[in-house]
Amino acid sequence: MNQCPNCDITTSQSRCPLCRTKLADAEASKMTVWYPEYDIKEQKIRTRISRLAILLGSLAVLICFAINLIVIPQFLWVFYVAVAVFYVLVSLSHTILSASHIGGKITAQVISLTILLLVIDFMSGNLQWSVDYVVPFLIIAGILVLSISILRVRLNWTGYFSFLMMMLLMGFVPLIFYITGVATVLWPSVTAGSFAVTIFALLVVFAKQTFMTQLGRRFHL
Amino acid sequence: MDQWYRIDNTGKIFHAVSDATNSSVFRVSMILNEKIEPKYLQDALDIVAVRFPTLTVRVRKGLFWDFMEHNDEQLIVKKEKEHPCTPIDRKENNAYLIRVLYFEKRISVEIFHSLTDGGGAVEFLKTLIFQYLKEKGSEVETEGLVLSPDDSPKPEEMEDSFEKHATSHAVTRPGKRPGKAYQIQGTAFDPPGINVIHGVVDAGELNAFAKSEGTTLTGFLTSLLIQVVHDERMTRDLTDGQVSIALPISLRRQFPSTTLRNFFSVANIGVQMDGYMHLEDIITDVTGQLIKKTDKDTLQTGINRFVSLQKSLWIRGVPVFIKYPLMKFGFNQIGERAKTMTLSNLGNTRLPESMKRYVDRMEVILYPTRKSPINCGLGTVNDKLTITFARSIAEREIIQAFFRRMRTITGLEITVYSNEWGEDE
Repeated sequence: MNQCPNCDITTSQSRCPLCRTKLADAEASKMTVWYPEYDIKEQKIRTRISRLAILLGSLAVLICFAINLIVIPQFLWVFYVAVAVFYVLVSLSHTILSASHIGGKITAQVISLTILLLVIDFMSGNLQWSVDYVVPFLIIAGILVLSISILRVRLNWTGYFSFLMMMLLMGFVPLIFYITGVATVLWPSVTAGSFAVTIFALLVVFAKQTFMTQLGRRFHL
Repeated sequence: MDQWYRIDNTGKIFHAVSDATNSSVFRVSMILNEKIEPKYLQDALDIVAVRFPTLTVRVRKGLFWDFMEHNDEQLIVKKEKEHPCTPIDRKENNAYLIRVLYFEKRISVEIFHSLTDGGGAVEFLKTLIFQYLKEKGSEVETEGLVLSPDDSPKPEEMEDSFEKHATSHAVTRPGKRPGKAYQIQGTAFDPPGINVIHGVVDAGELNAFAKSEGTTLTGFLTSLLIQVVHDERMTRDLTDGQVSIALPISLRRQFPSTTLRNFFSVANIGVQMDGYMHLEDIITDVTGQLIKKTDKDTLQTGINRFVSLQKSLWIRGVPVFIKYPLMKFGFNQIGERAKTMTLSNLGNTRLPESMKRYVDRMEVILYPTRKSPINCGLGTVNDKLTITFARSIAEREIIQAFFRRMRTITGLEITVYSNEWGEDE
């Protein structure tokens, strides 16, 4: 044991934990190791990489904004870049690098892609191809991928419940677009809505007990 | 087994407020007299996990409240590599909100606070160590002091004791909003992490000293802490004001309960400091407040208010994505601003005689938060008290002053050690 003359405490460590005074050589004080040696460098690198990604993304948008203003200020194409950078950053941090639930990743992709497409379409003049065709089929694809994932895990599907419910509700968004006059083509919207209803019906028929149990738990007050 | 549990009344708050700067993960550990053998620890955990169903759960998202479901995956013991109380990444921990770690002679249990409080965690740790020793072939008996892994979980261990002990569900207005307490400032570690400094002292002698000062061990340490925090403030900005220590109070002592879920209240002990306050004055003030604020009627009022609030249809009917940010705002603006630091004393943990010789001491680590960047945890076993400061800031003057002054005042031997996070050589 080492004694710190400043703090008047004993310690088995080579430096006083309170005032950091060196009390003994590391060799001489090889007694009990209380904690692991932390790899702080790796943590620092990880933090710096994510900060760097955000910085580079913001920098790219700023440079494009400057070029945009200098070259063709009457057409702000920089918004295309900004929304694409946003989508890439979200995809990187959530879909690729995080260990989130696969259901969450699918749902996040559908939502962020929908936003990306809506912005691009809106920037091009008015909302047309996105709300008429691409968004309904994107939602159908999302529901389909989620359903396939559920079939793969079978009994363990309850973790997908809230994501599936969210996606099924999203299935009606194209119909809302059509009813409100934003979309002009009916059949893709009807297809998305019908697909959501079909999956919901299949769920109730084949997994009624689990479905009802989960419903009770998810909505308990 | 398809068991599910509502999150208890206190647990809901931790769900709402936890984030990168507030992991809501606390740790209880015991240091054994021999190096830990992970194989036996895993064998023990496989058995003990079944005995504590409310701790071995996963959290599911609900619209109005999240809830907990039984988790079928194996809870795996891990060698300690990170700093204490790192946020629990549910996806990397088989969706568990609890982790069991080992390092050299230490077995640690880190738990997300929504599952249980210190009392529940200690019961789990005791049973785990009991089973670990059995797996190693040691002759140990529960002696009525450890929950036997062979017994089935009892319904009363899984109950929400807040609801059981609430005597009125009428919504009552909270008392006067507590005043703002002094808050410790400092430079956050980069990269973020938690530094812990433990001080081990003879519990019996310290207790006797506290009694001679006319207070309890908690009362004495709280008073000392208030004094050193104020002194530190004076050297920093020459101002006086309120220093408040939040003391979690286990309700099991006053309200009969064997629940393994959260069942505690918090008493804020605040002293209006000025340059003329001596330690004796602080002790008198703190002791008086402790008696008043841990009185059964006061605690009962707190339980009733707490339960009535969460029974309110207005609150229950609001979806979590609205409710959680509001709860977080309330926690930060009302709860966190009213305290300087939290000091949690888990008391004296009694072990069976047959187990005592295998255990040296225990540690309690309480996660710091942004507004409370230094917190303190106390745990006693085998007459050894370990005082642990956990901090997320580089400044350690308060901790240094605390141990130095404790040594000067009591004359007791203090053995100090640290995990050295963020310390430059």
